Amino acid sequence: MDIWRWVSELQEELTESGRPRLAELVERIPGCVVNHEHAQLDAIVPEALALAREAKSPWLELFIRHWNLQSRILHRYEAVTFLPEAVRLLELASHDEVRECPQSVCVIQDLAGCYAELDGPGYAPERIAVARETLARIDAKWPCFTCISSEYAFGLLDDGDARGALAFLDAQAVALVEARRGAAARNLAGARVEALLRLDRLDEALAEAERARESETDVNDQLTHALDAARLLARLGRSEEALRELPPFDRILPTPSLYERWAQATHMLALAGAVPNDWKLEGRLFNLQTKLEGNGVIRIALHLAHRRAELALARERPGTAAHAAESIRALLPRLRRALGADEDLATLESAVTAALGSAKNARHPPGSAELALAQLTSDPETDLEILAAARERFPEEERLAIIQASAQRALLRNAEAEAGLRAHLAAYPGAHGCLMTLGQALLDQRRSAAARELAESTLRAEPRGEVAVGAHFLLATAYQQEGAREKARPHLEAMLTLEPGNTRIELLLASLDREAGRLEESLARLDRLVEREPRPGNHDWDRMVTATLLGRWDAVRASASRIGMNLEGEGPIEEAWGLCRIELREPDGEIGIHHALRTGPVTARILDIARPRTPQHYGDEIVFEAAPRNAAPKPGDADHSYLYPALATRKPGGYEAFLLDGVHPGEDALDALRRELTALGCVLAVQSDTTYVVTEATTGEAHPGLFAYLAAPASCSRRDLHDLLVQRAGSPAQPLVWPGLAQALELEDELERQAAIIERLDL
Amino acid sequence: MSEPVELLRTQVDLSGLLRVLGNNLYSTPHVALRELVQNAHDSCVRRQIEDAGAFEPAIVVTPDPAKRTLTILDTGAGLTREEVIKYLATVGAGYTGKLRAEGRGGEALIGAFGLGFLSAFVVSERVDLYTTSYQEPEQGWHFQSRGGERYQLGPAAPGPVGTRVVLHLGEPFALLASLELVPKLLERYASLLAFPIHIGSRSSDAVNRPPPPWRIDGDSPLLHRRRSLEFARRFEPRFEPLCTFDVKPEVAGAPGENDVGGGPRGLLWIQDGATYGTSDNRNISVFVRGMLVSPDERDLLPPWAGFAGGVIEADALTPTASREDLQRNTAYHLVAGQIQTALIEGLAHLAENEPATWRRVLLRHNESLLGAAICDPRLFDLLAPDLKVPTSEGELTVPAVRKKSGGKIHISMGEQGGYEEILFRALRVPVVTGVRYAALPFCQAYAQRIGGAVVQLGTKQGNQSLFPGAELPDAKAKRLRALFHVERQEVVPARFAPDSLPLVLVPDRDVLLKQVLERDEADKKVSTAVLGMARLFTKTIDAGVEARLYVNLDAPVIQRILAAEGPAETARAEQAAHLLRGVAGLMAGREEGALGEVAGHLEALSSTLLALLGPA
Repeated sequence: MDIWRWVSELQEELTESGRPRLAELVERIPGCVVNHEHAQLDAIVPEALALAREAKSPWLELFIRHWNLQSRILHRYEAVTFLPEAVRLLELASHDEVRECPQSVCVIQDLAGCYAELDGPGYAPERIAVARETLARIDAKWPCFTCISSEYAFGLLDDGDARGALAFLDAQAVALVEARRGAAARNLAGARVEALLRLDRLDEALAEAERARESETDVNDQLTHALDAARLLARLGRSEEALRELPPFDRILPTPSLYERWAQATHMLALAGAVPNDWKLEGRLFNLQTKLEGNGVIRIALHLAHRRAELALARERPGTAAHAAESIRALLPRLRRALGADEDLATLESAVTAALGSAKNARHPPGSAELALAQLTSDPETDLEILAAARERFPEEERLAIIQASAQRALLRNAEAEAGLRAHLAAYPGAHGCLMTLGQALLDQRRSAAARELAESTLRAEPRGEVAVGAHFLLATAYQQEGAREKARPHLEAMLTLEPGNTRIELLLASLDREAGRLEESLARLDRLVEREPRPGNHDWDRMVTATLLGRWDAVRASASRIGMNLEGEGPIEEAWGLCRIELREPDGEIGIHHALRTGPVTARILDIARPRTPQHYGDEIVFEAAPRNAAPKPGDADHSYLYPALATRKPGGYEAFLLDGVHPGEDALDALRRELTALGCVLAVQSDTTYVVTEATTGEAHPGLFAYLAAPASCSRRDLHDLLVQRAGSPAQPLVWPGLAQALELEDELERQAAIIERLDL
Repeated sequence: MSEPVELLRTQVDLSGLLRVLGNNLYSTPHVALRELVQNAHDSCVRRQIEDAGAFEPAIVVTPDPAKRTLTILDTGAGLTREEVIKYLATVGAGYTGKLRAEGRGGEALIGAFGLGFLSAFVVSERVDLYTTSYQEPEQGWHFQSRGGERYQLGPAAPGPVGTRVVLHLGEPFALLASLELVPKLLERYASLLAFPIHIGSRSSDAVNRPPPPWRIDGDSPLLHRRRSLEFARRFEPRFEPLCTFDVKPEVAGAPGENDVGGGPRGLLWIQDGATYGTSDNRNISVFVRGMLVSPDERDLLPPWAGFAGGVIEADALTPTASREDLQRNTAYHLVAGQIQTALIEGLAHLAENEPATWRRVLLRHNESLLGAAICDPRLFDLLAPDLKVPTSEGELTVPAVRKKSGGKIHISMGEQGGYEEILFRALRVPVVTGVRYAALPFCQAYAQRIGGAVVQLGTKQGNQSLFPGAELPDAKAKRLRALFHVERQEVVPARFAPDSLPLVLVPDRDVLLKQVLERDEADKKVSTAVLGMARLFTKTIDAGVEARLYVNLDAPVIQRILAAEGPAETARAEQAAHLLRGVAGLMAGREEGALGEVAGHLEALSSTLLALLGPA
């Protein structure tokens, strides 16, 4: 059955049955997969799956999960993580209700793909058996015929039978022609190229790859074919052409299925001198190897390690070659079957030993740490060799440990850098530099729990001194990262005990106290700081904030005066310092920006009336962070106003807003209404201008319109406001409505009356 | 007039070529207008290069709906008789191609294929061309052809130097004589051409004035912004542009190993219309050497930018033969990268400098931006604190979620949510709806890049994080096991919130899978070799534990049960434990692969309650 016809029919069906969203997602998924839009696929899949389940469509569920696995397994090589899902999907595909689904065979490819990645040659017999058995169930008319045939061919290739694979592929191509699906033979091109390459029939392989490009339709095809061309051209010694074909590293990095081809091409180009064979290439290859190892893709990771070793030996960096050999040794037990990998390693190791031997003779161990440091180059591979020797001799030298870690990180050996620093710390618990380097690295990687563990174990060994301050700092930062700021507090205090007089820590503690509502403690701390510090500074600004929140206007005035703002009088500060803007965060995290009048050093009153049924801040008295978000105005910028982030609402305005809409009563009448509203404490903010016109629905007669927000304080009774509006706002000829207020008062008759006006004027 | 009129034949199989042009190369008849204006423009460039005399370059396009004609007049070089024959009527020999091959004329020349004029025949019943060359201003020529395959060429009264082409449009292409459509088309097609293009007469305002905003120096920021929005409006087919960003070659992308020159300049904009995460309204108009090659080259914008549009000129790009598309070569990918950078930098600049507009962008495109953020780390860092994710407590930013959840981000994937999820809802701890577009990967990226832990409800890792194991003295641990143990289940002492929740029973899905696939019935449903391969995996699953019972040591009821002393108290504690187990079992029974024995749990509940009530 034709899977795409099914999908297209299904999409129509979904759209017609009121599930257009699901139809859209189903259409997007395969495109995301073949175009390597991995992140977008991940964004879509959970939603599509939930909708498919809601639609009770197990076929569709199978489709979505299969395509997800195509991306996760076939392209991203997440074999270990997604093996359970592949098995689960296979189990689902065996259920009666999905056995007929055209995609049910494809899940076999997902499962076989996992094992091909874990250890292709190691699982070759099982993979061949699975493909053979599946091919017996289908014929060349099935769209999955070419996929399963490729699986079979790759199985044979991994089993060392390239000749058999090629013959098989030829036979499958004939079967496709007989089934009138000759064009589908292009889907076998990938396997053919590989078979021809392994048979060393390079020109034919290149021709095959070139032919395949003519029908490429998606990013995966483009990149795969370009890489095939590049590695074949490189093998043929046509480096310049190969280099033109080779996609940039950034384009292959997100998709591990491309790694081996890229490494193969680059390896040959580097040996040919067409790309630099240097430590940067080593870093890239090691990065790819690490990613594959992390995914459990062992055999290919091992191939990459061999390439690293060969390249390192070629550029006379035996240390790197030894490193690669060591990683191969660690990978060997994770292979299903060694199949000669152990012998290959032995050969490599003897080459490495020889190279190391001659290098050692050439290099004399440094006489001191200083001498070692003086020998360092800008090549981290060389530096590591120098540092290894130096560290053996001067294990207590912290600087050497830190520099070694940084050289390792330059080569993307992050795990080793971490292990080295840990080992040094374990032996020398007072190594402050090591602790901070390692702790900061952990925090940068968002591994806050690991950072805390490190700091705590350091504190157990060294509860005092510089290293303890560092450990408390790491703990405080880690808690901060975790969103548990309160837990940071005891560590800040501990730091202060160990380092009395540290202003930065005191300020942090004061702000923690303020956030937690311990305003008195916060102010007391700031008072002490201000007393201690002769110069004005952040402590004064922070003090004004906390003092304002507490209403300690004398303290506000004192710090203001230290900064150079002289505020007259006593009691609450109520200046009119011009307009500013306030950034207010609502409880849902949404930020609103409001115009406000700055009333003091760190206070402002909101002037915007928000439309009804949105959070209302009119009249709110805000305490804001003294540092504005935006820069100072440029000369001539008349529109500039400072934007301050709000810290707290000192006093809510307590207003609620209603709409006033209808026929404009004329400026005089509006002024009169405004006066009466003001007497009630209300504010009218007209939103409309002269372009707003309301039209009688029946006669078509047009009137100037009025659309306004009406803000009423809590002190004004809704009933009084309503009564005032009934008396003063509009006439039967020039009516206005305020349905929100009428609704709040539950005035049924009034609502009906206003509804009639709304209909009449089409408001 | 002494020269005779001659009937000549074009030098290729035109009927076949025109069919190809009509069907494939030129999908829309508008292209004929573009090609002819381009020829006229090239002709002016040629005259500037070759003619030492002064002249005022101009192009006048006159649609006449009554006569169904479209006339394109230029004050360019004009053609001699030989040139008409050589360049106009010989496919592939466009004069501009010749100039460019000689290295003259440079970037100002547009024509490349010599096919342009032929598009006139696709839309016309008859084409008249009147031309007077600057080389022989005393001699005019009139070329006339129906269908293009054969043409008449004869002398005509000399006119001002230049060329006038009159298309007598075929019935289906009458729109090309529209007084409304033609100016609109020219505003887009020709807006980047250097010489003025007028409609109707040279005294009318040129349609390609003012030039695009990026070619104007010295504007104030405000004027530049207004001009850019105005220009964007011309090109954005569906929405009002909300804000624009400049694309400048010197800032777009890092110059370096792949720099090919001729990088993009132009404008990008954000559309002012709400989008879904998967909405794709990308469009970008691409000009190469001043001529609009493609009005919808969406792939030059990153796939995540479904809310953006743009207009750029990039001479590094190469049009395909039809000149309606671009070749997807290295330069194309490079330009795409530069546009992506310009878009991200533009958004960053907006966030920094125009907070109100930035808010509007966030409001309009929140969901799309969630998807966009996970595609590019630069964008993520910019957007992470402000985007909202759907939660059980409404749409919240992730910082707001973390604030209400002790720094964590709880996510439900829908079908697996057990009763811990119900409890979260009751406690008003926000649970992110992970099945909505981009919510899960966005939260995961947030935790990875900024902080916080993602707890995916209903997964093994999620449970380990929700119900962290706790140490218990041996005797107490033993007592706990004695009270709660059931065969093939593991009793896990743990501490978790809320303390009103004493037990959580979670089945192990892998074990259930193992049981299904290792049963004999599986052999009938799944082929042998495939099943063998699946069993390679299930063999690795430890089948000993079918479910885990997490016992909350912080729960007062558990503390009481564990503290029970003496036979009476112990008996009551055992009854209570029995009751709790029944409840936990019932709750777990809601889940997939239920531990089955709902009836058994009910019975346990019932018998315990009866015992508590005492004899009747």
